[in-house]
Amino acid sequence: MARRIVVTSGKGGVGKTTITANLGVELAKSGERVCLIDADIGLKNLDVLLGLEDRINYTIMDVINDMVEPMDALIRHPGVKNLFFLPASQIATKDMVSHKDIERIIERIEEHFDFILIDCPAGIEKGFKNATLPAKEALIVTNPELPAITDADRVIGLLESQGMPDTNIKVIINRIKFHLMKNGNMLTKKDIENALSIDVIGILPDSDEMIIAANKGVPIVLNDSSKITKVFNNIVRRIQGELVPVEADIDIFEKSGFMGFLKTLFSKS
Amino acid sequence: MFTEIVATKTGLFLSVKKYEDIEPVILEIKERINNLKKLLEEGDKIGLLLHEDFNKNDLLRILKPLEENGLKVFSIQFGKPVVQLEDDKKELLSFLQKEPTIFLTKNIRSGQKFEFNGNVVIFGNVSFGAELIVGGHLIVFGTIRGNVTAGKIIGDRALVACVEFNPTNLKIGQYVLRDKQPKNYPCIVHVRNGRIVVEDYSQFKDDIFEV
Repeated sequence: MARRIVVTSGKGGVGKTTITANLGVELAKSGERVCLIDADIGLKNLDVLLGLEDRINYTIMDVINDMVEPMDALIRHPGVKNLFFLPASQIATKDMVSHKDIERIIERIEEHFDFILIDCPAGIEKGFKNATLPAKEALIVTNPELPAITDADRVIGLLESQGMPDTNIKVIINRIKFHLMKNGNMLTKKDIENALSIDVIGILPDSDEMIIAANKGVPIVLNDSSKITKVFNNIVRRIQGELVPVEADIDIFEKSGFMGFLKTLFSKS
Repeated sequence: MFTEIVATKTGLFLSVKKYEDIEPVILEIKERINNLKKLLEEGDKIGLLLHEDFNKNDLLRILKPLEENGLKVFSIQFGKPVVQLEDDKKELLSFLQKEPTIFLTKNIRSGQKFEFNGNVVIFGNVSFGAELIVGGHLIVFGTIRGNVTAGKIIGDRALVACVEFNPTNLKIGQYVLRDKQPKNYPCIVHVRNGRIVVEDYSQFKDDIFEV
């Protein structure tokens, strides 16, 4: 049985798709068999971030309409052999799909994988239900800003009312800005944990590298020397059940000078 | 009833009264711990309050169900039960029957609405963007950040207590909170002289309970 994890946030633009792509690649690098499903039908992006947009023959709509077997529709990543990808359709809309369709697809491919990551669209309408109802666990991506955190709280409430226990929900803080942190003008890990009452599983900095990687269509974790890769590696190990303290994510950047201050901020909290 | 769970200043105690046979006592302890499972976690501490004629050979048998559930016994005391709750209990029961009280062990999150015509005790937070409408008193073992109405039925004699206080909006009876300065210490909120006041719990005098 594969672990079904949905990556969601409520608010748009916090980095759901980027994190799905990179987590998928990093999980596959660690030897797990991973399938990424893009549930953002009509606004697909995951294929672009993975650099697979020119390899799409069949989309999730073809699978739902029984034109092709789910396993045949999956695209294998050329660089990471354990990583498979089911692209969304750009022409269809979210209303043309129901969560039962996605659940059926997952049931049929589940035996071949250890992890199934679902990239959830922004918002809390039909697309959100389609992506979250088939999942058993959730990763909430949030930025250290109040609007993102309010939306994350709302999403956690919705997930709980859908029957997901809150121990299966974890938070990734994305886009921490160091100069704001230096002034004490940014919410800390402790603030976010207090506001959401959910464990933080990873902290990612705001980084130019990520933007460049996204534009190239090469997930950043394929570059082993990048510091961000190490953070993703930590997150993957935490997902696999290893006890890696979240503060280790900050330690990675500590040597770059200005992160030293950040570390002291977090060690207090 | 041979046993009782007692909350004291030093922590939670299991009080064991005089008994003839140990078997029903053990069964009762197991049942009590089962009922409390939602509130207790593994590694939580509990004390033992034993009757002065307690047969010390039974001690290990009483400790067993506690340890099986991961509870740690931090103190064992002998003597007459310190607390005699019988009269207080009747009063409390009649109060609870008059004004029903609900206990919630969850967070009220953004976008969720909870309404109850009685008293509410929450072990969790009331998030920013959540709505809570309570007929009677409200106690929150957490932070109030949302939109709260207390005393919808009992009016302005309602009390609100919480560990941290930073609401978007708070109403007690017909009154609306004006001073929304966040407080990061336990406080009690109530109506005095036609105004809602927020008081530090440690400075709080309980004379307003005479209602």
